[in-house]
Amino acid sequence: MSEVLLQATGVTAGYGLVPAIQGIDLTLRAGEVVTLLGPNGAGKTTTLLALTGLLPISSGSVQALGIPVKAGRATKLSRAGTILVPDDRGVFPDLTVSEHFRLVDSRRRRERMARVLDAFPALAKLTGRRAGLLSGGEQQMLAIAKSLLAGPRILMVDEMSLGLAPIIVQEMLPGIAALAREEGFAVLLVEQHVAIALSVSDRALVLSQGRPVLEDSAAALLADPSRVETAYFGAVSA
Amino acid sequence: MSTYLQFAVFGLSLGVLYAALANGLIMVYRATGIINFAMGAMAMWGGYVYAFLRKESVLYLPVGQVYFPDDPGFWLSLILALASSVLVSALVYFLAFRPVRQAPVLAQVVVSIAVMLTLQALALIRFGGDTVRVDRFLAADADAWKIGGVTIEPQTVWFTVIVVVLSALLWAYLRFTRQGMATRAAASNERAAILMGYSPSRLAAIAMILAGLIATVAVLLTAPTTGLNPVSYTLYVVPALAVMLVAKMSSIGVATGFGIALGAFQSILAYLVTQSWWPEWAASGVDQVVPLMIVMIALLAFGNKLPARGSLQTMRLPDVDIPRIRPVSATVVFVVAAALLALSQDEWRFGLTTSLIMTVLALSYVIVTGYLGQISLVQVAFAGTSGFVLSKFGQDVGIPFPIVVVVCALTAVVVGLVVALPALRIRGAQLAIVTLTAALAIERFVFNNYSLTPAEGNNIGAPQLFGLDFGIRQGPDVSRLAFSWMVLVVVAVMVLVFVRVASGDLGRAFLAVRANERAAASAGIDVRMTKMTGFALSAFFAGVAGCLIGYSHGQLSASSFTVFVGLQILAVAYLGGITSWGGAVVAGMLAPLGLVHTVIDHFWTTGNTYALVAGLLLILTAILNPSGIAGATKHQIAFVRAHRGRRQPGAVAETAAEIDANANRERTTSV
Amino acid sequence: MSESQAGLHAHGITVRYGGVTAVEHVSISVLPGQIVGLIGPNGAGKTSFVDAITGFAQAEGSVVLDGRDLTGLKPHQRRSAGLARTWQAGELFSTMTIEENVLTSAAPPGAATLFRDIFLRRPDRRATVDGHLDVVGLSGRAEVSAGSLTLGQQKLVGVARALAGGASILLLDEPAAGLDSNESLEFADRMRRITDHGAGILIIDHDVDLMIKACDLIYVLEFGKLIFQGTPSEMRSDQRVIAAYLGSPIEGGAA
Repeated sequence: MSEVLLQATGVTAGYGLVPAIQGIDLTLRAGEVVTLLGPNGAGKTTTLLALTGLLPISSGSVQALGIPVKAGRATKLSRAGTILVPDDRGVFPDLTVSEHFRLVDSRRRRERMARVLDAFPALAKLTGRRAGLLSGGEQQMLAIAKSLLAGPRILMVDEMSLGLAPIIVQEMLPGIAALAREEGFAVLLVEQHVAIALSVSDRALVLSQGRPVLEDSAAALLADPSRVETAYFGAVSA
Repeated sequence: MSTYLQFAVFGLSLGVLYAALANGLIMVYRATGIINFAMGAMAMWGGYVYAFLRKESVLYLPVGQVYFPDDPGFWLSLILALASSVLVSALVYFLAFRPVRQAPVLAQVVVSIAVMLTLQALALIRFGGDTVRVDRFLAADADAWKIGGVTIEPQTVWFTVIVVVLSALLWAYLRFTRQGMATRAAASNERAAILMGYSPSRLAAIAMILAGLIATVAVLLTAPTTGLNPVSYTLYVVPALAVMLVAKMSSIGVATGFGIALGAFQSILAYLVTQSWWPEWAASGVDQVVPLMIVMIALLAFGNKLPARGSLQTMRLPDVDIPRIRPVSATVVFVVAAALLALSQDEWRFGLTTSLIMTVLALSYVIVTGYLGQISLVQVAFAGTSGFVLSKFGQDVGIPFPIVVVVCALTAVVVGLVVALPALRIRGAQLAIVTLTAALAIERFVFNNYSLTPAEGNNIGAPQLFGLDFGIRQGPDVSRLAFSWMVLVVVAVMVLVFVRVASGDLGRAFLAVRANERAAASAGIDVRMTKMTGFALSAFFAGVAGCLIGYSHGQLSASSFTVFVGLQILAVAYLGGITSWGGAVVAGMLAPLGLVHTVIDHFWTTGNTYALVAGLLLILTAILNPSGIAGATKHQIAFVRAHRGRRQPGAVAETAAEIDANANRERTTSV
Repeated sequence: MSESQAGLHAHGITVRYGGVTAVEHVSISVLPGQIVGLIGPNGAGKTSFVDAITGFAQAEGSVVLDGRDLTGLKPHQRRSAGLARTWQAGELFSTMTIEENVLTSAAPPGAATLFRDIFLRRPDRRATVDGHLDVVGLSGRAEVSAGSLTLGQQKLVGVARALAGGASILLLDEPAAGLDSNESLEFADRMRRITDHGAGILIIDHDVDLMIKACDLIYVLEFGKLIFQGTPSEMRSDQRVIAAYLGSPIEGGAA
């Protein structure tokens, strides 16, 4: 088994007095792609925020790249290589595409620039354009590209398909997964398009009402999709 | 033509100051989301340090001083002045701005104003209130140039060039350096900047220091022309705020160009008002009307397009306990107050009476800010307007006493409605800018206008009703009980009106608008009309207070209604608790010339210490309890009790809810 | 369909933000007594559609309520006309009690409110408030502070607030998110009680189970366009709907 990059045990977190997620266990290993599934409000985004130190954890523990995750450590975790692409994509409308790239530490940038632009050739033509003027798909490409440029050890992507046509995601995801396996970083996806996400993943964890309800290999879930549908729709067919 | 050009050149010295202050404001806003009302006061500090090093060979620190054997010379003084500026910027950021970075806008505005009041008071204590002359150091011996009938001092060229170059450096920092780019990035999406490994606090500290430096350099350049004065330099932030709005709170280039142009324009205007064709009544303070008009036009043109900072705001405004009228306790409070007034004499009775009057003024803040959630810094100008009309009526028109107060307060309502118009389009800190600018314009254009308000003041006759004299003075008695009791009755009526409104449908609508304008509209509330009503009502309260202030002084004096008095009353209203009439009473006690002021004044010479202590306390209150003392305490208690009780997550929410219900039942707010 | 017909008739609603078309020519009708569902994946334009017909977003198209044309009116005017909505995030006035929240819409201020507040006796509206709270299952909680409620409870108070001003059509934006499955079923019964009194409901929710059980008619949005309208049982066998919700169809789906 390859190296464990992130280890979450019994994570409970939320807003105010009411926990939004409870008892989340999750392990991410080098080169592995894992998808977090679940209906809206299941706590997927909350899980990502808790894992990256953007939301206080009320019980349980998370170790990411050897650093104990706590609220207020988001800057430190990001520098160590735990990188989250948030659901608002985290691009800056006033900055140009190339300014986004220059925000990344220069040493890492030089090493990886050519490779990232290879993966997103469309961006190479847009370097002078401000992010606010890009299309949704281009913004998402920029968000992924700047995160890859930073040389992630753990890459988390929240709802890549939000407001995008599925075809765009279908084109981007396999590239990210391939890069992860090649470079040995871990990927944690939160995705609505179950089939697309499962097709590139090794494993999936389904959340419902803030609790894990199903965890299995992507291949097994693809083979029997009714299990995922049940978790989504409840016992409709009953 | 050459005369106009000549005055334009004269205006450059203030123009570069506006440009530099506006650039500083933009830097701070982009890095912290806070409008730094203290920009002028912060920049002024370095100027004073330089001036006193050269004049007295003393290095003044915020606390304590270092003596030099002789004049440390230009370069060392300059370096020490800039170092002081860095120190002040860092202190202000880490002690005042950083603690409120996620607080509601109201707390941020209050902190920034508190820093301004504190630094101004500190400068008054340390450096005195007189204008300090600063020797020229730029091209001091060079001859002036004459170009086409316009005399140009070489120093004018130099300081313009220096400020333009520094602005360009600031622009380059934001444009080309990683830190600068990250500052811009964090301004639009703070969370995403954190996710890229940047610390917004560090970026903000750097931006504050750079802002302080460019503004301090500009003060050093301008001071030899104007001399240093703690009031005028603190208030130079007002035209700079106008410039910042024109630059859409983001463009360094526009701010630099427009700032310099504004200085030149004001100077030409200063020449024009001396012309015989310029109406005499409009000659005073017209330079302060210009920023107001610019601000109004800029906000009407693109108020809703100004960038908001995408930071994570989590805290909410102070909670409000709906007041109820309890006849027994109300009567007791009233009788006790009447007895205290009867038992006290002279300065004590005057202090207590002033506190009562200031309670009404503080109530106007409670209505507009505490209930309606609009940050208004102009309430004292409403009071002044009403007092001003009273002083005119008192001599010319024979309207009997209680009615004349209502009529005067209604004129304040009219002014209030005009000032409220921008509030329909903007909110938060932008409204604070408009109202501060308006307050200064009204102060300079009306109250300090000698053709409207003679230097000796407009006398206000004693109020009389049914042949009874309620004047403050009669013979040797300078603080009559009849006057104080009259004030008590008026204040009691106003508090009663406040409680009725606050506990009624309108009060609830105010709170709904304050909490969430969208949700209020979806509940069927006409948000615009509700805001106008709130502003009108608060102006009426301020107007009544203005009349009482006028009666208590026997004349209208502009010094009762300055911008700083207004800010101090906002400060004490916030300290006392901006959401309740009880808070307004506390504010009245703490207000300038009120009871506490009288007590302190009786035992110590207060002077500026009062202002300094008020400023520091205000910073502390806003930081420790940005959501209000009462609200915070209530929720801490609920939280602690909930955690001592059942531990199941579901049950916790239940318990907290129940405790809140109990807290509601136990509310002891009464009249 | 005649425009003077009772109920809500939104026709040709189009919403654009910048260059993006969030809602494209969507027409929906809600008749009195009906529960109508509006579902679709995240970002499909459901909330934009509700914002448009309630006046919170600029939009093309017409909105007619009980024969009265509401097009171009301000949000509070549409509310007073009987078109009430709730919000996805609750959007309660968190510093107020539940009762005060409900009263905001029961007694919005008018021209004479200032005078009435100061001089006249207060009417006792306690019974009305309790009635509305009873409908959503929160009776007896009037004095509780709204800020201390769970999101699910906050949304129920939102429904009570929407009812209080007198509503002929209720637009509920994810009212059941944050409720567990039992509470969701209870909520379905409560909606039926509301429509039994003659009001119509348009409900947005992700809980397909709830939608299928509660709705008389369902509309499905994807990328701002209407891709389905029909009864719940028709929807369950519609492959396009399954695809919109779960991505590209999974072979051998259970539905």
